[in-house]
Amino acid sequence: MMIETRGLRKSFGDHVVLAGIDLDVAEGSIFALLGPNGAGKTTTVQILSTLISADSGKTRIAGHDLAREPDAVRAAIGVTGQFSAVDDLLTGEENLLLMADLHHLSRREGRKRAADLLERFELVEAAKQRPATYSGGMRRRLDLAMTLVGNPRLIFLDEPTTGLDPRSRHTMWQIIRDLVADGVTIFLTTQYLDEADELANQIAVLDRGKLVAEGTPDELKRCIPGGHIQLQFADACGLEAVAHTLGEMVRNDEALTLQIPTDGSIRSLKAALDRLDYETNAVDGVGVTVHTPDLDDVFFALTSHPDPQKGDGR
Amino acid sequence: MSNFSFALRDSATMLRRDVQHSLRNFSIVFVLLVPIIMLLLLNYVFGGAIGAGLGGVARGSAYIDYLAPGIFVMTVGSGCAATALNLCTDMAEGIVTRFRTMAIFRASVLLGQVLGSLIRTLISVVLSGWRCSWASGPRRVPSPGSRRSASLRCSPSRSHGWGRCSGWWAKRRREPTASPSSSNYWHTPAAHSSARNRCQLESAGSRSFSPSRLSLTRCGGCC
Repeated sequence: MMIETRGLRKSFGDHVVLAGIDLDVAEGSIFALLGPNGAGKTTTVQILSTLISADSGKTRIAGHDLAREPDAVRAAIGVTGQFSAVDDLLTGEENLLLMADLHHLSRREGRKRAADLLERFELVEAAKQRPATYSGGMRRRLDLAMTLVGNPRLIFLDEPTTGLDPRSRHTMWQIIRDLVADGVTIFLTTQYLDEADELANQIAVLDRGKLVAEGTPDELKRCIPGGHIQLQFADACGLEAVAHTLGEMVRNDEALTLQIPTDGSIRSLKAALDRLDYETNAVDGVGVTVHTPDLDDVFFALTSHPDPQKGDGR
Repeated sequence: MSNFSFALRDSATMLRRDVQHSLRNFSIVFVLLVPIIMLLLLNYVFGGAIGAGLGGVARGSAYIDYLAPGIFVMTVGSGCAATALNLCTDMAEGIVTRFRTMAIFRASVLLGQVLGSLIRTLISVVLSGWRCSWASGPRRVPSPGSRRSASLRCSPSRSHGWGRCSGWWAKRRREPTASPSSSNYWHTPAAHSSARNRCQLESAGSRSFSPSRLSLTRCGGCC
């Protein structure tokens, strides 16, 4: 195990941020921590990356005790936060050389590592420019490249693709996959559920300082009933007629949609459509979309307490 | 031992970063130039008015001898302020957070900034000290009434000026070092205030301290 946490607690004054968290992250995997704003994701990352200390609980990272050997832990980890931790007054190359010096690499080795990373992250042309002239995606790549100078075995990525365009996001995802292929462990927090779905081997959902679910993306989706077909009507009359005949279902009068629950199999889909055709004979002008449960459903089901969007066509 | 050498290396790395910073943002310009501009402003532009306001005190010693220590304190102060500002920027940008998650000698982050600031401030103090000495360089006293010697008095001798730029040093030299009977002796600040302005006045044949007559342009001609 790369990260083993037992009973991690942290509170700021009376406000309990983490109320006893147990995490197990296997070596060479991508672990995603999901949760609404204020759930304690960033606090967890800050504790695990030695920035702040926990009130209680035991944590071992890369075989070292977090509280007793913080320097050994720091030597094994790399952190790329949602803040951009690059030096704006140094060029891209100088930023990497600074990191190489702080990792006590020899001058020659540092230059070689910097050149390799610039090439790998497609920053060669921008190497002599300052990050102030970089685009958001380039900045994020430089940020990650700086983290990689020290060859960390575990990398914390705190919302790595926030604010990036789709192409840059996919580039970043590919970089992350390549890292894992090299044996690096990734601890990811993200707001984007499709990102966790795309990348993560293991997902934990954090809500109000507690882990409410943990498992692979498929496991999580399976335990949530969210699959349905959605019927889109052209006018309110058609909606009214079908809703009246078919009885109980989720209905949205504003969007003119009806949702019929299914388990996602062809059999249940066919049964629902047959029933629609047979009982109402109103299939003309009705659009159909099939919705399988995704992590959004998991997220809303598990963290549903103050959710104003519940029942809003989901 | 290896811990110690790592600490040294980390501090040197941070110092290099700080020097690179000060060459690229404009803090070096502020730290180096502001004291000098203030010195020139307070000496040449407002110097006459303030010097006259000192009254009896000014007669005991040169105005520049009161000004110079103040400029030095201001130089050191603005150096400290620049360091605080740099550190604050670092903290806000998140790079310090990155340093804190790395296995480096933690004090080096601060140490690099402090050493860099020390170097900048030293350069600045030396520069403004040199400027002070230039402004208060020793003069030769003329034989009374001679216009030719009036111009002689005004030629600044920079080689002897450095030691006289601060007040405490000036006090040590209050006593004339050469016999008054000698026609050419090195004059002291005790006898002449704001020497260059004075020489301007004297060559103009006036003894009154009028700020308008102590302007930089009038002084420029004889100095």
